[in-house]
Amino acid sequence: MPDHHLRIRVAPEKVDEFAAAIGEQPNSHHGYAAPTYAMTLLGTTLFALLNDLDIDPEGDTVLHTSQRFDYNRQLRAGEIVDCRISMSDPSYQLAGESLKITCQFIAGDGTTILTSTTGLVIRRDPRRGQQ
Amino acid sequence: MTEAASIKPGINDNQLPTASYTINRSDLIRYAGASGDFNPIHWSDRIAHAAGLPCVIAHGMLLMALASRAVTGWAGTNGIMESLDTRFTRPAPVPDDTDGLLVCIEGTITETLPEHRYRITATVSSSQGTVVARCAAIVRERPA
Repeated sequence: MPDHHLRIRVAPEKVDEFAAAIGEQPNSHHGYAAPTYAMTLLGTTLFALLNDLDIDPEGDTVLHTSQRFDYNRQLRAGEIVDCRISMSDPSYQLAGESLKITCQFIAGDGTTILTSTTGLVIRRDPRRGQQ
Repeated sequence: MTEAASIKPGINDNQLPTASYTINRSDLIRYAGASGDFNPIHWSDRIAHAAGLPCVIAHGMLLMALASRAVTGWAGTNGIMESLDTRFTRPAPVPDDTDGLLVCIEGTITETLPEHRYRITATVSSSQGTVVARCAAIVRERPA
């Protein structure tokens, strides 16, 4: 599975929108994003990766089973970060296809801000094989 | 998002104050918009039923965000979260009524580590007592 790379701005208005969605007051983190905000930067890219796996959103079920963040610091509102995303090959277990997606968020000076590790299990719609 | 109990910063006791939040359907819509996670099991009862769920479920990352709020509240202004690890153990159904889903986050300081760091383990439970997520965080205290 090829690695992916993208460059994203941590938009202050999106940081505020996310804070409100989790019940925090604006600027609760004094110019930094909430600790779990990093996942939202990956949204579109993650969905593109899953599309590569031929997932049917109406039938297959994608389960988010685990999530880990390792921080050197939090994302700063307004900064531009590079995201380096890699995905493990699917491993097949009783529960379904198990995947691990890792993303390193890198600041403009080349230092790692944080690393995100996402565990997913994909359960295929059994009806698909019967069609 | 309704906050049912305030969190008092401080790590004097191993058992930390319980944090409680109420999640209703509008919170799921707001979180979907803010996060970009429009997986239909979070907004369509039809798709949720097809997946074997009783109704739509809360985003795992919303539960983790609430756990993160609890940890940063417990750590206080001098605490820096170095890692947060979460296992989503059970789905968290959000009923389509005025009560929504009440989640309680209970944390304990389970280990003191070198360099002013400590480990917190926490559970995220529904009001029925079902554990829907388990978390572990490493927090470092800034030197006074």
